Amino acid sequence: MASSSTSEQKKKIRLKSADNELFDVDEDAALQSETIKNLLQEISGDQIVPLPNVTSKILAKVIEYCSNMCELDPIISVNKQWESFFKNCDQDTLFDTILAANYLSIKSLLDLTCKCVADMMKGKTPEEIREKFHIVNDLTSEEEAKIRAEISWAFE
Amino acid sequence: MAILPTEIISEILSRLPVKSLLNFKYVCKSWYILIKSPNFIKLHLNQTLISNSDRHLLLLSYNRNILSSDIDVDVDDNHPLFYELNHPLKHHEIELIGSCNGILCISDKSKTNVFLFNPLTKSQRKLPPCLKDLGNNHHNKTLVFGFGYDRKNDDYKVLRMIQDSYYNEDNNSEAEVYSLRNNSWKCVERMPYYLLFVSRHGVFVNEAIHYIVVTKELQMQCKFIAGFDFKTETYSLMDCPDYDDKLGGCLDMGELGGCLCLLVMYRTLLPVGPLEILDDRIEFTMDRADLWVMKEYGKKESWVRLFSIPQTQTFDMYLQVRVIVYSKDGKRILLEFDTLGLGWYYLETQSFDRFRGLPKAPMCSGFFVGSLVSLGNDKLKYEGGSIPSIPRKKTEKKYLDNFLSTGFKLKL
Repeated sequence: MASSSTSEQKKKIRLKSADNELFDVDEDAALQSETIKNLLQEISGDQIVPLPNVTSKILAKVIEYCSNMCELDPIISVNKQWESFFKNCDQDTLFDTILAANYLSIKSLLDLTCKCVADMMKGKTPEEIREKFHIVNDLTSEEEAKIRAEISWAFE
Repeated sequence: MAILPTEIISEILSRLPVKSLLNFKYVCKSWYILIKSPNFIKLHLNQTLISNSDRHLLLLSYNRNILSSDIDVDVDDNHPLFYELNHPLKHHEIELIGSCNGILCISDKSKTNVFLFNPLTKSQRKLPPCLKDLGNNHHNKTLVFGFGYDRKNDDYKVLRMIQDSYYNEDNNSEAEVYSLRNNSWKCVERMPYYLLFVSRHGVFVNEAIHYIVVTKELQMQCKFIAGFDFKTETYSLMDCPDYDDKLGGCLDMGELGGCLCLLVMYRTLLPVGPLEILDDRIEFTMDRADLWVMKEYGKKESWVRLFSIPQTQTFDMYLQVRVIVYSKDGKRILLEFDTLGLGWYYLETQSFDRFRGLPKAPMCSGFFVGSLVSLGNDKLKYEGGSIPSIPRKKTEKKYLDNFLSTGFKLKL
């Protein structure tokens, strides 16, 4: 991108993933994460920021997302592209990205990924949801009857 | 395989429509407890309001039922699919007093039976008898309500006002407020102005309920908007926009995108045929409708004219127009006209696309958002009786047979 101030190089932040891979990231992209912002205040500027909860595979995606969000493209179209990416990726990648966005405290990414999961859930049956989320049904038949009564339709 | 912690499950679920959530109570115990918890209910409501999703159109038809349909369906927007909503005033002619945070306030025609209810969860509350009776002279009195939410006290409130049907110097009006938290009515200071257009209930915006009024002198060319603040229980007065023809323009107030709006309708008296005997029947027709929006609450200079429909009759609008709601993308506005029709008005092209398949009877329309807000009086009658089956994949909309018989095309 053409810039009037040519002399100044963008400041880089060095991040380390759980599997010890190093990533050099533009500062403005890295600072979208509240967690990284706070960590940078604790350690001196040139040190590596350790992120033991995020794998390199997911961190690469998160960095790509943050860099995209810093670009001049309208945010809406960037968001649309990422939305379609998350809707088509495998569930593990989506869930791991949610966990990373939560840990790194990147609100827009957490919003987007949660929305993608929610959209995926619409119209599913409880059984399908249990399968997707690996949940065991621990409701007794009495409790199920109670829930049925709560959401029953009759007024009188 | 990643296991998501409860806080994230809660974030995800808060982005789902109520219908899905009711169904997902069956997933497991922890989800059931989460979906029922007051904190989640608030989180979900905020999320729904921010994302402007799970919005439902309401039609109160004069044949005593309430119909509903999703506002934001993408396919074939001008042919909504209606289903009948169950409500606590079955077999009564109903009036819609207001809608706020997924709660509807309705009354019967006599305005003595007033209910709050959540149409999606069926949670409901019948309001106790009010304090001020209309007494024997109910013919000379007018009753107007307003429904809204007091954020500070986290309370749903109903304002009930009585005023003389005909203006007189000494203001005999009375006012009382119902609080859901206390489940009781309480007298409040009476409104120091005279209400106009009393067939409309108050419009809830910015934690206050609003009415079109004139001040003491009853100067009809000098109308104001009066607000009653549910938090402070005080009245305030705001200016109307500078619209043309203060005397001739007929007003209707509404809410649009969280702002107060004012429709100004210009009507012409129709000449009565020479052979007809003059009576007090007024024949008129509307030829222009302007919509004003107060962008910044309470600021007169922030009123802007959003649109003007110069020849309403070309859109089949003859008597009156009402504003219902913005489309999700904000490019269209849903209008009700002549209590018979509905349609989207496109702001950019200034064109109008009317709905097909509506009941052929007068109606009153509105909208509500899906919420889990509970009125704390839910019926739990699961002991004995037949147990309905667990809802499965298909939604259980009750489509109306009588719609089908009037040429209504069912789309699935």
